[in-house]
Amino acid sequence: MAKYGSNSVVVAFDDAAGDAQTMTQYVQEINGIDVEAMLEESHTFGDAWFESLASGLRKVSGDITLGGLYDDTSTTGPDAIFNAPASGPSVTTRTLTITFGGSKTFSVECFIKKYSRPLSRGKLHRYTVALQSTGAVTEA
Amino acid sequence: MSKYGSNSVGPILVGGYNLVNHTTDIPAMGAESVMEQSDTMGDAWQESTPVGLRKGAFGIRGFYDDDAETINESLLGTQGTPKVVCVLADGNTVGQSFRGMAGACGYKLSRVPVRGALHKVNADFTVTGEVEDGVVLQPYEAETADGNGTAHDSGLQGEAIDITASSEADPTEISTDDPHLLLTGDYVLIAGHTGSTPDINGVHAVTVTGASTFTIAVEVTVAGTGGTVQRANTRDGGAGYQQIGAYTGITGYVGKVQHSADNTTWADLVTFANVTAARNAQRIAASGVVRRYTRYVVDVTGSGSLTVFGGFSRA
Repeated sequence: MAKYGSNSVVVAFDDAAGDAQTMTQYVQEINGIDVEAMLEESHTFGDAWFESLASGLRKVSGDITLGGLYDDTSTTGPDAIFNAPASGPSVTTRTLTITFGGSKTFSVECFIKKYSRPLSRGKLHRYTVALQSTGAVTEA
Repeated sequence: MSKYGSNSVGPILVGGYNLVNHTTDIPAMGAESVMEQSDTMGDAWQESTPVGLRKGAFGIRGFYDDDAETINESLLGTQGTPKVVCVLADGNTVGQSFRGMAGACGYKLSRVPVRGALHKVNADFTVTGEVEDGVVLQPYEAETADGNGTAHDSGLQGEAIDITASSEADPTEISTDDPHLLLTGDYVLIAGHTGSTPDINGVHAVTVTGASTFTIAVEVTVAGTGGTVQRANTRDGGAGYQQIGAYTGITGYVGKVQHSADNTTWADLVTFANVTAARNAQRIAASGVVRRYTRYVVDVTGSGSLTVFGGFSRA
C-alpha cells in the first residue's frame, strides 16, 4: 500500500478529434472524484433502524471541475481543449482519465458542461471547466 | 506569451462604456451547456445528454463611482436592456483575443457600502444569445481620420492536400491525390506546384468538379505537377463587434470589417450602422465564407475624434 501526493497525478482529456491530451501541466485544482451509489430508504413499519438498499444506479456526484492558469497555447493548451461547451445531443463525449499515483486510474466519458475565465486584480488569468460525466466509471 | 495577468487586461467595454478602471474582478465570464439526465431502466450508471442549449454568464465586481460616464451611470437604471459586452482580457492590440456578448441584460446591480472601506459595485448579467471568442482588429483608441487597420491573419484551414497535376485547359482543372474536401466558393493557397505555364502558385477561388478535382480561373497552356492545396477561408460566418466611447466634433462614423484571401484585394464583410453619438455598441452577424485575412476600416465624416474598438469572431 502506498500513499501519493500531487506530484503523482496525471490528468488526460480528449481533444475534439478524440485523441488523449495530457493536461497535467495546466491543472492546479481538481474538485474531487466522487463515485456514488444511489440508495433508497427501505425500512418499514416495525423496523427500529433506518435501512437502505442500493437501487442499482451509480453516478459520479456532481460535476468534475478542473481549474488552473489560463493559457492560450494553440491545439494543446487548456483554452484550446476545454473552451467548447457541448452544443447538442450529437456531440461526442470525451474521455477524462486521472491517474492518482502508481498505476491506478479513473476514467469516465464526459461532456464539457461549462468553461469560464475568471479575471482578478493582481492575479494571473485563470480558467475553470466543469465536466458532466455520463455512463460507467472505469477504475483500473 | 501564453499566460496573462491582471496587468494585461485591456478595455472592458459594456454598451460603449469602458469599465476597466473600476473593475477589480470578473468572477464569471463563460458559457455553459444545459444537460438533462438521460439514463433509463436497465442502466447501471447515470447518464447525461446535452439538450442543445447553451447559456452565457458575465459579472463585474469593482469600485462604486458616481462620476458621469463611469460605472454607476453605465449600469444604473438600464436593467433589462441588452448590452453589447467586449472584454479584452489579453490586451488591447490587433490579434489579441476578446470575448463578446450581444445580449448581456437582466442583471442584478448591488451597491455595497462597507465600514472602513470604499463602496463597491457588484453587477451580474444574464446573457441572452451567444458568447463568442474573437480577435481584436481595431484597438480601443482615439481615431480622427479615415484609415485601414492592420490585417490579421487567421491562417490556413484544414490540411494541405497533395496536388497530382494541373490540366491544359481554360479553366485549368486541378486533380489531387486525396479528396480535397473543398466547396465551390472556397479560396485556396496553391504552393510548390511546378512546370505549369503560367505559374499557378498563389491564392485562387475554386469551383469544385469532383471529390478530387476542382478548377481555378486560370488558362494553363502547359500542365504542371505536384505541390499542395490548402483552404484559405472559414465557411460558417461570424460576427463583427464595434464599441464607441467618446465622440466629439465628427458628424458621422461608419466602421467596417473587411476580409481578403491574399491580403491584397479586400471586400466588405461587416458594415456597422452609422454612429452619430457617444456610447454606441453594435454586433453585426456575417454569414458564409470568411476569408483568411480580416481588418477594420475607419470611416469618419467631419472633423473631430472618437474612441473606437472593432473586432471579429469567426463561427
